[in-house]
Amino acid sequence: MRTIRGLLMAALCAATPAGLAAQQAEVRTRLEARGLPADLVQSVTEVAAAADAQGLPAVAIVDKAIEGWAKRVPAPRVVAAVRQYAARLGEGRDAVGAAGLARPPEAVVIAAAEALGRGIGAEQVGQIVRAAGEPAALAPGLVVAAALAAQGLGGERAVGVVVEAMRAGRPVDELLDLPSVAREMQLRGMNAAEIGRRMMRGGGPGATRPGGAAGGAGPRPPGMPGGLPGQGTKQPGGRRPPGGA
Amino acid sequence: MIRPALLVAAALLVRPADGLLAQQASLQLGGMHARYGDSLSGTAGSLSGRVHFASALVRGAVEGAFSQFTEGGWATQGGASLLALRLVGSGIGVGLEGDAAGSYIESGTLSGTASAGAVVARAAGPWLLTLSATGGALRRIDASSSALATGVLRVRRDAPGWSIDAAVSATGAGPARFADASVGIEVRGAALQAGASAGARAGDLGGTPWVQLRAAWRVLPAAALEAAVGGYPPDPTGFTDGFFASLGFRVGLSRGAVAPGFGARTEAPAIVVESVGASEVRVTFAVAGPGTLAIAGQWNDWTPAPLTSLGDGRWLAVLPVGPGVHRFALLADGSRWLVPHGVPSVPDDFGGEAGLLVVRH
Repeated sequence: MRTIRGLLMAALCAATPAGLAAQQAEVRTRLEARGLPADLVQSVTEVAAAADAQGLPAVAIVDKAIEGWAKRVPAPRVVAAVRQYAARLGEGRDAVGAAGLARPPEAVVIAAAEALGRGIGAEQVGQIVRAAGEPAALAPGLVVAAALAAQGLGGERAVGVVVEAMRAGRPVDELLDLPSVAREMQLRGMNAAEIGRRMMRGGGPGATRPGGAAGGAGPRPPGMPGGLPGQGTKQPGGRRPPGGA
Repeated sequence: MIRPALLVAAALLVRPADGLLAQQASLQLGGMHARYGDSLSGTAGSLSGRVHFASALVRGAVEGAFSQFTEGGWATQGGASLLALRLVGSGIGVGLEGDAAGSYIESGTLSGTASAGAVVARAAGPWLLTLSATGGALRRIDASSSALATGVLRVRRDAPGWSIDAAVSATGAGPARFADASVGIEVRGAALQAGASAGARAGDLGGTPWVQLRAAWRVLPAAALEAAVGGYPPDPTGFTDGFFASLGFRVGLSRGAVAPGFGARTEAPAIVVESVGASEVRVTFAVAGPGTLAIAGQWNDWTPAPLTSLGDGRWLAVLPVGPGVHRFALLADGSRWLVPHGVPSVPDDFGGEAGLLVVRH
């Protein structure tokens, strides 16, 4: 099915050679401007053109190639990586489509590919698609799931956390906080199971953000050794000495 | 004879809250001199313990102290506080807080306060605004007691290396009514921490403004010298205002409890993102070690742009990005790509990592 669709897209592009050529020239210019060698530019341009012909976001492929080159990855590895990435973009688009989103935005396709690349299965991508209450939450949800999986939570647990957060109606900003919350818990020595359990319980965003909850109370004003806690509210700064003379 | 307060303090220190996170236990041995407003003064050696704990939803502290005065006589203090907060919207949290504190003097004088109430927190950019209202009771040193009601509005900003805090409060303690205003600032270095607080009171129990200074110097990985000096306003339980000076040595007894300072040890966060405008953010990274640092990401076609060193391993960048998730990496000394420890990341498909820069809406 994908092959047929790809052929149709290729035929469509062939029918508009001027547009295709212009886009390829744009890709080529961007890659050259970033200093990629000619043979790498040619290879990446071909991969991007093929992806574009299939209706996939070619810009993501160009981004990936530039990232690899900037990190001084050898050209053959860059080419191999962008080819795999292009294939994953297609799989991501299909996974999202199978869950009912027929024509997903580029950002969603890119996010789905990111999720698939971190061990999250197509069916699990579909779970996130179905749980997203608002379209704007879908791409961030998929990226967050990918990040959580990459942080060691595992695909199933990562998807569970995101799906629960979406079902609880948490806004996008809170979804985006989840990887930082998980990282903070990891730095505290918690294992993946415990992090997943706590986050699915809703004890994630905000409550554990540095300077968050306890920041309201703040470090109480100091005073005497062993000064009393909680006097920030009733006795601002005014710790009295322990006992009388 | 072993003092009961010592037993309590020891129990707190050797068994800190199983199952809770980030427990921090520390023990301080020190000395202090205090002068009360009613012309009494005293010098004492003191032993105090502190346990901090935090879970995903709850943070709290338990503290206890025992003081032996050189003129004879002893006193104990103890207290606990708890805050539970849950996010209910973008940057808005609601929760409950409670605290209790008490003092007992050998002569038989017992005093203390206990209160609980609601708190609302709102994050606005780098600032955190909290409003709390609590009610409870107090017992004065003359054994009388009354209701206690307090409302507090506090604003706070935590940044790598420093924090500032200001609060206004209104208190009703039986027949007494007074309002307080205070401001505090703290700076934190790798081994040195210093802070100052000042405040003033209007209404009953009012008097001259007070100032407190404190400093801590971490001399060992798990030990710090602490010093504090300043004045304090009258206490609604019956203690009058006065002056104090203290010097102590604090030893951390659990992970993260090195605490060169006055509360939980504060680590500089790996990344702090502050929106400057609709499509620009100021980002501060904590990366110790490199001589130069540059940032590259999707927004600039992975062209490394130098960061500005702020000292103490902190680096500043102003980036032209809007709300969303942006892939990035840092280039250390022009040769080594890295993502700061503590920043969410994903594999980059090239055997390395790409950090995720999250810009909130």
